[in-house]
Amino acid sequence: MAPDEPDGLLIDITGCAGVFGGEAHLVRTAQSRLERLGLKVRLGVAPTFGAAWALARFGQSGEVLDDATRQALAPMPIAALRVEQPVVDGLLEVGIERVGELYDLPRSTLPARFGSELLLRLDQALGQAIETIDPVRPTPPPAVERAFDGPTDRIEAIELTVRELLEELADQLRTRECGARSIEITLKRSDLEPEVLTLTMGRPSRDAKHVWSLARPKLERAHLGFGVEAVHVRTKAVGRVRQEQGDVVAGAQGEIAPADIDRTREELLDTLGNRIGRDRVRRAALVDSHLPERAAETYPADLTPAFAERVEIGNDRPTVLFDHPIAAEVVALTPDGPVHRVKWRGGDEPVTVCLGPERIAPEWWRRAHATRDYFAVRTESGRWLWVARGLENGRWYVHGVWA
Amino acid sequence: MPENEFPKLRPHPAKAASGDSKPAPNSGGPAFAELMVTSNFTFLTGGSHPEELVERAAELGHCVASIADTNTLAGVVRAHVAAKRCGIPLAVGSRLRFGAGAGGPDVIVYPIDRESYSRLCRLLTLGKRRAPKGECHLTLHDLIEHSEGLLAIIDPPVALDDGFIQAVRGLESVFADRLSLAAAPAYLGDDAGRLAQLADLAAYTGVPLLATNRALYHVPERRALQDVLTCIRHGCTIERAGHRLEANAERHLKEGLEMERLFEAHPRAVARALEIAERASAFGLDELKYRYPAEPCPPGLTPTRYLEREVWVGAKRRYSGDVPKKTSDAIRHELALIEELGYEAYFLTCYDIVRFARSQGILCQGRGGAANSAVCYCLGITEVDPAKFNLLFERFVSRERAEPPDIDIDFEHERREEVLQYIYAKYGRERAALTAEVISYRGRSAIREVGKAMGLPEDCVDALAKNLDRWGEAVTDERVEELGLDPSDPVLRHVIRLASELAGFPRHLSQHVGGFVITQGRLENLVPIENAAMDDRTVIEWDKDDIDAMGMLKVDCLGLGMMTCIGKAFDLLGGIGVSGQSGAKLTLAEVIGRERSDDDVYDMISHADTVGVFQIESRAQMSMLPRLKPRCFYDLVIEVAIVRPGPIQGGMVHPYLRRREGVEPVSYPSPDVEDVLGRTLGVPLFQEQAMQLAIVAAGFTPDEADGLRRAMAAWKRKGNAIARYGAHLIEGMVANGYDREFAERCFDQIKGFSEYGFPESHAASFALLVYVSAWLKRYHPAAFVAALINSQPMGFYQPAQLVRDAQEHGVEARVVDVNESGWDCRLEVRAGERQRRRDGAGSRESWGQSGPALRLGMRLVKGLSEEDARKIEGAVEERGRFGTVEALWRASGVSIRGLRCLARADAFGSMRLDRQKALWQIRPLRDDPMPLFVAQDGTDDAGLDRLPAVAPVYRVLHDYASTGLSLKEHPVAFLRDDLAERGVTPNGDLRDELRFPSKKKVSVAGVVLCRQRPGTASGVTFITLEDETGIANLVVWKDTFEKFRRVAKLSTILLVQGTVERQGEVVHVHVAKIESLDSKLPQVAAVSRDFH
Repeated sequence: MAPDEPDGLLIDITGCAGVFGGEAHLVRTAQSRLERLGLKVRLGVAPTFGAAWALARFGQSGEVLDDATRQALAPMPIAALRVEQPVVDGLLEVGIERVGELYDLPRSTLPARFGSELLLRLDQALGQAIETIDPVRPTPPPAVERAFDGPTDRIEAIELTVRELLEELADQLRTRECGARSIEITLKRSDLEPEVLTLTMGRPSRDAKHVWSLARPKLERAHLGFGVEAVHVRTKAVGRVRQEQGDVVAGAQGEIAPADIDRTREELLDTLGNRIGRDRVRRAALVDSHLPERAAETYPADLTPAFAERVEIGNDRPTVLFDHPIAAEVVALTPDGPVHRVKWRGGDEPVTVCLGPERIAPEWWRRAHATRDYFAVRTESGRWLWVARGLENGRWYVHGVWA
Repeated sequence: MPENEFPKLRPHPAKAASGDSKPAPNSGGPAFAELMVTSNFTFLTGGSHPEELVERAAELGHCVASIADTNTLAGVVRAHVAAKRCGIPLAVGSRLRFGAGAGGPDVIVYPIDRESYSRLCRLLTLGKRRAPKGECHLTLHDLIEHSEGLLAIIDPPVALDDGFIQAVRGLESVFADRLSLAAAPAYLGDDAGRLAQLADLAAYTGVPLLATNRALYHVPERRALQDVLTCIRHGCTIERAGHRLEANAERHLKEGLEMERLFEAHPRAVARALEIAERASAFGLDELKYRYPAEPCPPGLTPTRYLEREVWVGAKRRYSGDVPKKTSDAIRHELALIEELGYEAYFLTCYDIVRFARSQGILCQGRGGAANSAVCYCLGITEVDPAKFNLLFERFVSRERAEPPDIDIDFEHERREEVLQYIYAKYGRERAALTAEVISYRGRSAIREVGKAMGLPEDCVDALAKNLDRWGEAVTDERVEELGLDPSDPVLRHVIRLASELAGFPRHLSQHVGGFVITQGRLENLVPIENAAMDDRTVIEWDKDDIDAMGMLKVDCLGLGMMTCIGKAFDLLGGIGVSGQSGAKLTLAEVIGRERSDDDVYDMISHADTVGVFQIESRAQMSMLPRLKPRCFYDLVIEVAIVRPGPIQGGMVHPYLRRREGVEPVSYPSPDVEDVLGRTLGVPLFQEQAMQLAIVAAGFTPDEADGLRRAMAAWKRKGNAIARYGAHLIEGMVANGYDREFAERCFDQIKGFSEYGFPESHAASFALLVYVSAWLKRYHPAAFVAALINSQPMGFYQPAQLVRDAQEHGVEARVVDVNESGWDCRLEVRAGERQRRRDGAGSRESWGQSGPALRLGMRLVKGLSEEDARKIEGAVEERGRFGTVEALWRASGVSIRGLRCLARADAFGSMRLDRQKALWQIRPLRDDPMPLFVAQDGTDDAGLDRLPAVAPVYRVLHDYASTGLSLKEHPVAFLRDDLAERGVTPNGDLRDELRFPSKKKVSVAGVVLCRQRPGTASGVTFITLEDETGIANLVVWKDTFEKFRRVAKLSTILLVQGTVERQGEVVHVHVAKIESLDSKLPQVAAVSRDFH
C-alpha cells in the first residue's frame, strides 16, 4: 500500500482477493470498514494502477474492471489520466475532452505538443508501461518492558528498573530523531489492576534524567499492592526533536545559552505541571498600557505569546500596587497639588516631598472611568506613597506604596 | 468635468458659506499664542482641521493663531482663510523633522517676511524633490543654509543629552535671538522637574524658554480620534497601542489663564511665546504676490496688442473676413475687460497650448465660462460660435468678483501627456507644476480604517464598509441591525462615531488631473513642490481651492476619451480619403460647420439611436431623447445638462418637458425673468440661471449670488446657510412683486442644484462633442465604431454592443485575422463595390452599407500584448500574407503566448485553420527554439484532420471568452428553442405595438449590456438586455432589485418576467421576476460588466 497524495491510497491486491472472498467482496469490505471510520471513500479495482485511479475518481465507486481497460477508459475525461492541469486544458483547447479521442491521434504528434508525461500516463493506464509503488509499513511507538523474577515490592528495585527503561526508551527515541510528549509507565501488579502513571511534557523530550525527575514523585506515591511483576514503559505521543549543537563558547564562559534557558524553563514547567496540574501554572507578563492596574497580567504557562511585544515600562511605578485602592483623606492646596497631608489606614502624616501630577486618562475604548492625577509623595516617616485623585469626583485614594 | 466632482465631505473654508457666524472671541484673561500646532495635514497625527484650530484659537482669545505641520505647508491656506474670517492674525510655519541619522531635534520655523517665507518653501521643496513622493528628506545643515529670517523653536526630545545640547548651541550660533526652546507641561509626573531642567538649559545656552502645549487637536474631546489616528499610523489595534498613545487628553489648545498657571514658575516663557507669535504674524499669506508669467510676444508688441491682433486675425478667418457686428461688439467688450483685469497673458497661454496641440495633431477644445467667449472662439480655443448658436455667456469674467477666469481644455486622453510635457518644457519645472488634490477619508475608507484600529473582526468591518453609502450617509441603528450587528455594542458605537469624525480628514496629497499653475517667478518661492507618483511630474502642495483662495491662475489640461475617439475617427477617415475642404484631416470646426437644423443627425438623435455617442448614450439619456426631440444645437446643450441629478432632484425635468411638448403654457412672471429663463422655457436648468435669477428677481448683488452658489454646493453640511439665503431670496422676490409660491418653487429648484448643478458653459462645449460624435455615427458608422473600440476603455458599452450596433446600421464587420488585422481596428474597402460618398437618406440599416467595412483589431484579443500584435502587423506589412503559423512565427518573432491568444480568438482563418487546428499547430512551437523542433517543418499537418469536431455553440462561446464578442452568431440564439418553450418573447418582437401593448405581461431574455442606476432615480435600476433579435429595456424597481439582488447585480444572462410599458416609441419592461441563465452559457457570463 502506498499513499497517493493528496487524497488517495494505492493498494496492490494481487493474490489477495481469494483470501477475502473475491475482488468484489474485498472492495465492499474495505468500503464499509473505511466508512465506519467516518471517511467518505471511492474505490476502484483494475488491472493497472492508472485505470484503478481513474475508476475510483471517474467511474462508479466499487467498480471492478477485469479486462477491457481500453474501452472503459475511452469515455473518461482526460483528467482521469493523472496528468497536470495545463495538459488537460491544452487538450481541451483543441477539442479533446475524452481519453478515447487520444486513441485516434498519431502517437508521434503528442509528446511535442503535450509533453512526454501524457503518453506515459496513457500507457500506464492501459498496461503498456510498468508502474510500481513504494509501500509504507507501520512503525510501532517506542516501548520497553522488563519483567521481574517474581513480584517485588522493593521500591528501589522498581525505581532502578524504571530509570533503566527510561534510558532505553531515550535511546530508541534518539535513533528516531524524536522525543516523547507523553509517557505511560505501567506497573503490572500481581492480583491487581495495573497501575498506570502518565507523564506529560511541554515539549518533546528524550532526556531520561528529566523524565525520571517527573516520574519519580509519582512512583513514590504509587500503590504497589502485592508486588509488581513487570514494568512497561511506552510513549503515548511523540514529537520531532532535531539534534542540536550546544553552544560550546558560551558554556565555556559560564554563560547560559538561550536554548538552555528555554529548556530549563520548560523543565520547570513540566515539574510543576506534573505535580499540581498544568492548568494551574501561570506566567506573569507586562502589558503595554498607561493604566497601572492593567500594566501586568498573568496567563497560562503553556501559552507562549504569539509574538514578542515591545513593552515600555514608562514612568516609575510603586513596588506594591493595591488591587483595590484605599480611600484616603488628603490636604492639597490646589487640585493640581502639591499634596500636604495624607490620612489613610488610620495614619495621618504630613508630606515632605510631592512629585506630580501624572495625569492618566481612561482607556476610552473600554468601560470608561475618570481621568486620574497621580502623585508620588514621601510622608514624614519616610514612606513613599502613590496617591491618586479622581478628576471627576475629586476623591483621593492611595493606589500603591514603594517598599 | 464638473459632473464628476464629488461633493467634498468637508468643503474648503473658502468654499464654505461666507455668512457663518464668527466665533465670539474671549476677550477676558491674559493673552497667549500657541506656536506648536499640528493639524490633520500632518497626516495620521493631528486630530483637527486647520480651520478648527484657528477658530478655537480665536475663541480662546489667543492673540495669534498658528499652524505648523510636519515638513509641509499644505494646510496653511485653509488656516489663512479661516483666520481672516475670524479676524485673528495667523503665524504660518512648519515643523521640520530631520531624517534619522541627519540628527537634530524637531525645529518649528516661522517666516517673518516674504523672503524668509520663500526660503522656507525652497527648503521644503529641496527636501521633497530629493525624496520619494510623500516624503521629505532634510538635514540640520539644510535648515542652516535657509535660516535667514526664520524664527525657530526647538522641540526638545525626552532625553536632554549632550548631542541635544550640541544641537541647541549649533542652532543658537545661527539663529541668535530668533531661536527659542519649547517647554510644555505634559502631565507626565515630573513636569516641574522637566521645566526646571529646560530652564537651566535655556539659561546655560542663552536660548529663551518658550511656553507651549504642543497641540495636536483643538479640544480635548478629540483625544479618542487622535488615538485612533496613531493606531492607523502604526498599523496596530487600540488594544495593543499602549504607550504609543498619549497618556492623557492634555494636548489641546489652552487659554491664556491656564497657560499662565502652568508656567507660574517661568512667566518669561509665556512672554516669549507672545513675542515670537507677534514677530511671526508680521508675515501673512496675503503678502504673497502672485504674478502670472508674461507670454512671449512678437517683438514690438505688448501682450495686449498681441492678443488683440491674434483675436482679430482669428475673427477674420472664422467669419471669412465678414465679422458680424454682434460678434465684433462682443470681442471689443471682452478685450477691454481682459485688459482691465490684466488677464491677457492667461488667454495667450491657453492660445499657445491649443496651438501647440494643433501643431501636433492633438484634438482639443476648451470649456468653462471664459472659454465660451467670442475671444476664445476667435483664438480657436473653442469651436462653439457664440454668434451662430445664440448662446449667452454671463460668467465670462467677472469684474466684481476677483475670481480668476476659468478655462478647462480637453485633450485626447491618450496624448495629453505630450501637452503636459510641453508646458513643463516651455515654462520650466521651476515655474510650472500641477496642483495637488487632497485625498480625504470618505465614509467607507474611514470606517475601514477605524474598524481595523478598533479591532473589529474583518468581516464586520467589511459588512459596514460595503453597506455604507459612498458619501458617508448617516449610519442609523436600523442599518447596523440589518447587517446582523448589535448597534448598542460600545465598540461599534465608537467605530461609527469616530469614523464620522474621521470622514473628511485629508489622508494624502495626490495630483490633480490636469490643473497647471504657472508663475512668472520661481514657483517654489510661493509654495513647496514635491514629486508626483508618476515620473516627470511635479506637484505643488496646494489644491485647487487653495489656489483659488490665493488668487492664483491655473489652466486645466484634461484628458477626454471622446476626444481621442473623434481624433482617431478623423484619422481613419483621412486614410480612406474622407477629409475636410482643404484636403487635410477633418476638424471639429468643419464638422460643426455643417450643422443644420433639418439635419439627419438630429433625426437619429431624436430616435435615441445613440449607442456610443458622447454623453447621450446612457439609458436615462436615451429615454429622454424621443421626448425632447433635439432639433438644434441648443437643444443638445439642454439635453446634456438636463439628465443630471441637479435638475432631476430640483424637479425641473418634467415641467421643462411639458412646456416643450406644449402641454403646459410657457409663462414668465416678469420680463426680467424672461430674459434669464427664456431660452429654457421658464425653467432654470443651469447653475448660471439660478444665480442670475437671484440677481434680477431678488435683488442679490453679484457677490451675494456667488455666496448663494457656494451655499448651494455645501447645503447638505451647512443647511443653515442655504436656509438663510433662501429666506433672503424668497423675501427679495416677494418684495420685488413676485408671487410667493413662484419664489418658493424657484428656491426649491435652486436647492436641487446643490450637489450637481451643471454650468451652461460646460454643457455647450460638451454639446459640440455630442454633435460631432453623432455626425460620425450617422455618416461614417464604420469609422466611428472603429475609433470607439480603438479608444477603449470608455463610454458605457462593450465592443460587442458597439459592433452589433454598427452591424445594425449596415456596417460589415470582419473578424480578427493575423493576415488582415492590425493592433487597432481598421477600415477596409469593400470588394467589388466602388466606395460611394452618399450622405443621403435611407433607413438606418443602410447608413453603413455604402461605406467601408470594419476590420476588427488584435487589441480585442484577450491576453495579447500590443508588442506581439505590432510584430505581426509589421511582418505582414513587410513580407505579405503568411500561409502557415510557423512561417508567421519565424518571420515576426511573436511570442508563443501571443500566438495562443490569437488562436483562441480564432484569428488564423486566412490560413484555413480554425481555433482548434491553429492551437494544434502552435502546440509544438517553443519560444526558445530547440534544434529538435526547428527541424520540424511547418507542413506537418499530422493529426489535423483527426481532431474531434466542435459544436457551433462552443465556437461562439470561445469567441466570447477570447474577444468578448462573436461575429458568428448571438449566443442567446443557442438557447432560443429552450426559451421559446418557456414562452420567452424575442426582444425584437417588443417593437410590435399591436402584439405587445402597454400592461401586457411578457418574458424576455438576453445578455446584460449594461446596468445603470442613476443616483437620482430613487433606486431604480435600468438594465438593457440583448438577444439575437435586438434589445429590451428593463426597469427594475428598488424592491424587485433587492429581492433578486444577487442575480440582478451579478448575472450576465437574464430571463425576466414583467409588464410592457410604452411611452411613444420608448418601450420598457417593468420587471417582476429575475432569473439567471449564466450556467447555460458560462463563457459568455465570464465577460463581466459592471454598473456604470
